[in-house]
Amino acid sequence: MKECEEIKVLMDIYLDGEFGEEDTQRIQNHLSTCSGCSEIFEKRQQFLNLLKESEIRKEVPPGLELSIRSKLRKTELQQQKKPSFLKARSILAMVLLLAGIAGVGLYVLQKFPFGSEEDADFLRVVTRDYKDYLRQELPLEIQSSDREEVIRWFKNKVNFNLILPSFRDRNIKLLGGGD
Amino acid sequence: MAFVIYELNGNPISLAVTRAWRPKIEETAGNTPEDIDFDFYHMNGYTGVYWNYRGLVYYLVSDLPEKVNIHQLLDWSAS
Repeated sequence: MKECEEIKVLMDIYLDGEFGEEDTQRIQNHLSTCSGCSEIFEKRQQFLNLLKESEIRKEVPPGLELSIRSKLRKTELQQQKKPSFLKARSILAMVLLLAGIAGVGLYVLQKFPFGSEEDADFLRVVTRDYKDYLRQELPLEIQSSDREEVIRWFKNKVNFNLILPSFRDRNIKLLGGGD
Repeated sequence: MAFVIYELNGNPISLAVTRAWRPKIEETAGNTPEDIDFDFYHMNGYTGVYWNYRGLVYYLVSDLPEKVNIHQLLDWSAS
């Protein structure tokens, strides 16, 4: 009886073919001599055969497959849209590079905003003189609307031959000058 | 430096002239007015324009309330 209890426990493993040759032989010997165990074995074997032969299928709701495929596709697209770590690093490197170039450009522009330091210095003087004139702190040394007369006045005062333009707009009038 | 003042409708226009110091500019001494390149600048709230012509550098500053491109009204025919 004790062996029958043991065989009943081992029977399912035997049916799955999990035992080695020695254990298999031992179970087969017992089943051939024990009608009770042999009957139980046959019933279990029949049940297993029925399970294997039966096709259990469950109908899925219509549209479920389409819905799953759609969600999978969306997930794929989101993954594609997300920049990878490598891409993010490349973008960061590009931003830093552009910022560096812009910084150098601004530095150069601040240091040499008018092409040369001479131009910058002269523009400062010209702007200052203009402001002084507006404040009436820089009086005209010659007051004349005659261009030739103004040029003559400058002749011995500047070390170049002054060429003065006139203006097409007759509302622009020459007032004079100074050095 | 020659400092010359013009006036448009009561608004002073300053034209400063000096000799060009850069050889590059000296070489362009024979330029015609049509070849002039104007450079604009902004300093201390004033907008100006400067250019080179026949070995001289011109700096024009104005404080006109309306936007007038004075340099476009220059007439070099008598120079």
